[in-house]
Amino acid sequence: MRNLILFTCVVALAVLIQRGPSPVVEPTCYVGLLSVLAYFAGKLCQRLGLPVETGYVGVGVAARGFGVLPGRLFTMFDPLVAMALGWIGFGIGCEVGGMRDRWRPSHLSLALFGTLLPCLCAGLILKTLAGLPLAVALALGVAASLSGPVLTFVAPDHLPETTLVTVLCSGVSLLLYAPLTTMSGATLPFLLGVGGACGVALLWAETLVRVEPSLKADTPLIVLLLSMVILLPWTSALLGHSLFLTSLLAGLLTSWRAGLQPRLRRISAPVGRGAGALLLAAFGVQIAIERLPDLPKEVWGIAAIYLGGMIGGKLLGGALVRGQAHPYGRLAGIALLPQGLLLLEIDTQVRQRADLFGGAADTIHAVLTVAALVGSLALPLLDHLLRRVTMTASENYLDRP
Amino acid sequence: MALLVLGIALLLLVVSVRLMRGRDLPVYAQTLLRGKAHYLCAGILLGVGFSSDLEGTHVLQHAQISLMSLLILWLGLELGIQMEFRMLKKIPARLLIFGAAQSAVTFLLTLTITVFFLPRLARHLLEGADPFVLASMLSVAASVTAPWAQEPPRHPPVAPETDAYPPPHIPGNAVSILLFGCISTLLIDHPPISIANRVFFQSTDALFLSAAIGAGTGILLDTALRVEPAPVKAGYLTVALTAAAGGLCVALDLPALFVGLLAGGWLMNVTLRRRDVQTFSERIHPVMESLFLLVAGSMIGVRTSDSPLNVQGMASLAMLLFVSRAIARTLGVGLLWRLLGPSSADRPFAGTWLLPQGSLAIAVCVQPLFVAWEGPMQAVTIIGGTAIAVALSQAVVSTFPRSSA
Repeated sequence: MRNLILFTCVVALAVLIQRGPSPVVEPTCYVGLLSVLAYFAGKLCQRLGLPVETGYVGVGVAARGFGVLPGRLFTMFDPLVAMALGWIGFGIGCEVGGMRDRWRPSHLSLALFGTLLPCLCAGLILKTLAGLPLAVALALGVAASLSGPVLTFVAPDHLPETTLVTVLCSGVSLLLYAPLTTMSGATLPFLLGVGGACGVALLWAETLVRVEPSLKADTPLIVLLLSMVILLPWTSALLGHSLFLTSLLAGLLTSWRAGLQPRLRRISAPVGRGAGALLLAAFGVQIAIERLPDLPKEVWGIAAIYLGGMIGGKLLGGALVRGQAHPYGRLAGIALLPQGLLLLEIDTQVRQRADLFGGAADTIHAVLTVAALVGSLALPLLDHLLRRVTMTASENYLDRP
Repeated sequence: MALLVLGIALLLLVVSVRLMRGRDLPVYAQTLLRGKAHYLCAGILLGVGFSSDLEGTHVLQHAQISLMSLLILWLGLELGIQMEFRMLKKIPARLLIFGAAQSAVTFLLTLTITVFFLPRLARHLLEGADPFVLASMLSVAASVTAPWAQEPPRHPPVAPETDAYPPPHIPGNAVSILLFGCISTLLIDHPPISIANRVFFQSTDALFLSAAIGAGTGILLDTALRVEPAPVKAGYLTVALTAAAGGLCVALDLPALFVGLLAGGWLMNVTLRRRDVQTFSERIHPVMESLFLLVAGSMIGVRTSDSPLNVQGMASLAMLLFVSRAIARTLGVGLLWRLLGPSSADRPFAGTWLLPQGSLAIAVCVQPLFVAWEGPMQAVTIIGGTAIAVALSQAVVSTFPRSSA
């Protein structure tokens, strides 16, 4: 009952402050309200036996659809979303860096198979069936190969190894973006982007590692991390590199020092979970659901092929590594993890370099929007079911004599 | 340019940390560090460095304003959380009156001095601003105190003991922020506020609206804490609701400090999870305070790019505030001490008048940034002058013998 009262109060407040001659458009206010709504949606999904991430994304989509958030605010979420993505990327990097003792070559092979095959599979099918140019088909293929470590991070019941493999998958996917830019002769921007990402990540990691021993209290360290998270989107926009890749690398490099990892993890994990809920809700807000009915049928067709190629390619990748008698090989469901905001990041990069794709940039954007919607709401359910099956399978595997 | 500043700032950070490691700093430097003055300096440096690029990237600009609205409300909320009536009842009534009255007297005496001297010392600050409003804000800033002079930081942070004696500065600060709420709403000309098709024109409407939002936020926070038992998720809900209320205050030009004080006071006196709230507040407050100073510094830094810094105005304002506060507190507290005549058992209150200012004083001057101060340089001079006065009060108090402070 209290849940319902609080939920109603928050929705009523969000609607009331938009009325009148001068409606409230302060982003912080709506970010706060959206966070509370995301909490309740996640809780509702949890009670229904659904993954919480579906609730987070769903509440964002619903808030946009039902006018709980003012229209002019959708782009104002970008800075906070960017900061949340930076924090989560850093947190995942810390987590993966802390697991370096568990790293095995099989993880890399799983990541490579799980990334390259969906990319090629989706790309070639799109080129053959939809008749798209190779660069465009491969751009969608790269997007299809992304996995969702953000969701893995948000959902605490995932296997740690799943996090590791999905992070590796995403890293490979983001690096796969390279051929698309080099194919059009834009080698320098790509090299600058990757170089910038590595440089900025190294700079932050080195600063944190050198300063951390002197910071006995947590406060200065948290402030330093927050400064990093605020500055990272700015540097990534300036140098044209991936924000997520940079923050991930920074986290990875920082937590490489053994003594630092537990403290960073203790600090970043609670904030990361909250930021994850906000990030996914904001991601849902950015999906322009009202424009979906106006999309041409070809886009829906391409989106269907894209999703089919993505799932098929990832399942194929998972099936191929099964031969290694690896318990995680059974987790072909890694492939089904929704792609989260990383998909929108690829979308942003495509739009920023629209000249590389000619008139197809709009098509890519439309396809990725559809894929993001389906992938965020439907795939978590599929992932949830598969996770239950594969977890059981893994447990059986581990229990056997 | 900005990248260069960022690189230099990081280099300075590493070098200064290396140099300071294992060395004994002078007492005044230690108190300044304890007052988190370095965060303000770092913010100014970052603000100056990034000001040239802020026009192109709206990312940092939005983040600055959004963060500030949340942080100011948090400072008020933190003060309200300390206003637990059950604990305040432990203080003898005459000392409670003393604590509240010394702030009010400091406010009045500082106001008298400032109203007289402000037009003579800092005439340029009054262009487009009401001298009485400016003097009132500065007087409120002078009357608030920081708790850190008496309470050494604890690592890791823990909730205070349930039977602990409440800090003596709380009643005084609460009176100051209540005064601030009344001044912000009643004396400053507000544009009409519209909520749910109702338009509020009167200043008293703004005051009642602030009180209503404060109480409403308190109720929502209390409900949220009853809904969610897990501390991390409860903290998430608290921060989310604080952000919502802070954003509402900025959008409607309402005093967030006042709203936060009411919300925190309501929450602390109604909630069933006092200890959780205290622990959470103790953990998150140092981070919020540091961030507040960092963002306040960056706001000064960004605005200095528009026109040159008015060092003379800033220094004169700082000196006026510092001297008038010293006179007002000495006279006021001495007078009250004689009138009330507390016993020797009330020693914790003996050094209250020596307490320096803190981030709350800067927040009082940052809060009306978008309402009362006209030009960017006026805001920079006022905030900068207050920050210098705060630093002076912190540095000077460390020179007194430990027994008297």
